[in-house]
Amino acid sequence: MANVQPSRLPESSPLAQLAIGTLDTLIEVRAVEYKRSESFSSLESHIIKTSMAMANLRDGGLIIIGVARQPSGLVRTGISAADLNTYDADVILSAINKYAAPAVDAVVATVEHKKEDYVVIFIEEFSATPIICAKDSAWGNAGSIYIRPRGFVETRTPRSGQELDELIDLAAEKRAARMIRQHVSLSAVVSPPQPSNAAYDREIAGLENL
Amino acid sequence: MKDATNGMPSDVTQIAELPHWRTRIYPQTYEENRINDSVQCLDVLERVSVRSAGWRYPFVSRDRDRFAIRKNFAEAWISSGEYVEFSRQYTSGQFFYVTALREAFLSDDSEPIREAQELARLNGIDREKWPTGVVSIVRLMRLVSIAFMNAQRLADEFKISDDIVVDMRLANVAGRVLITGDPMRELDEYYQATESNIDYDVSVHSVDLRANTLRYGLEATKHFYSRFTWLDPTEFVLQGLQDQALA
Repeated sequence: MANVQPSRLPESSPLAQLAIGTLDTLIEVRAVEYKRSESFSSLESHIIKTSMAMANLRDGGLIIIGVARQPSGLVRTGISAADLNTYDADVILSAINKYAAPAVDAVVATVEHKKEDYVVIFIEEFSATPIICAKDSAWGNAGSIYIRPRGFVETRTPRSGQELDELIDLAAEKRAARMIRQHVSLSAVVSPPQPSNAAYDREIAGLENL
Repeated sequence: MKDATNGMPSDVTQIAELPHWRTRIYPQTYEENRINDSVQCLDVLERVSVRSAGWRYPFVSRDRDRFAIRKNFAEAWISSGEYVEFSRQYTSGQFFYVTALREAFLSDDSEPIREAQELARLNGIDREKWPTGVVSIVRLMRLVSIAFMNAQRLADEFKISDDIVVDMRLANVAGRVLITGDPMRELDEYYQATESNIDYDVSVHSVDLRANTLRYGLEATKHFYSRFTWLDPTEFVLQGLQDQALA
């Protein structure tokens, strides 16, 4: 069965603008990973690992396929039609989440930039619990946590406690925010009703200035 | 006839312009229908009313021209000479009472006003700061103490087991001075209000309120006196004033 190519984002969409802005500058940062045009099967393991790592990064990240690495630097080539045909958004998400636990949220789309197409995978930051690899494979082990370390453009497991700190801090922030939300919600349920001055004030509308 | 601006009977809308006393009392927790039927609100107003010094606070009459039953409250009023007051009892339990200060109806040559002017003269007060009127310390003590007695009766009426809020205001009194209102007794200082409105509110647990009704009255009255700059009434004086006010 033929793959369904990732849908093309209109240029005006915020995600397309993000990808186009990134392609304009071609700056390499840890939240952006460029890959040359290749078939999905060739890049599959790399996309899975990088997706898990970027999901562990504050604000997530982008994987852009169609940028070649040459001795002179990064060059925008776009993705070839043949390679593009191998990308199917559902297949890609399914492949990522076969390994990721909890599941990674991502959007897979095609973006046009200067008449060339690029496949862009927008990875969202984890929502509550950091992402770990839940399955053994030829490229990694179950239980591994992948990160995008500060100061490097690469995906790997942490090599020091400091490298893990950023992820722990992010998780702690989310946990604290969740606890506060729960506390507020729970308080509304179990606490006695608070003084209802407003309701009483409404009753005496017109007399309040006396 | 109802007044279009605030829903008060037109007989008593003048209160807003006069020096007046206002009490609001309500259970801390809002329940729209603590009283099932607004007709019963009139009964509650009567039960909550406190008799003192030949008057009832609030005054509630079954005279058809002096009460009304509305959707969520009953109200009663009177406008007769220096007796101008209005009260409402809401089905939620909220009690509202406002009365013109009787001192508002004193003529300039009345004994209390002359007492106040003499006090100003003796204290060397500039003419432009002479009193705009007076407030009797006994009557003020009575209004404040009775507010807490009203609150205690409301707490009993609704079997309140948590807090009840007592919110009071002495309004339009800027420039007025405290007087004893008793020719045999004089204040030796000139205590004058500089602000138009003096507010006081307190949230009291019903058990505490029942046990210390008059004590709360004393403390709140001290607050009102202090806003006239009378800062040091002794416990003995306060107690004596309260006894006199509620006799």
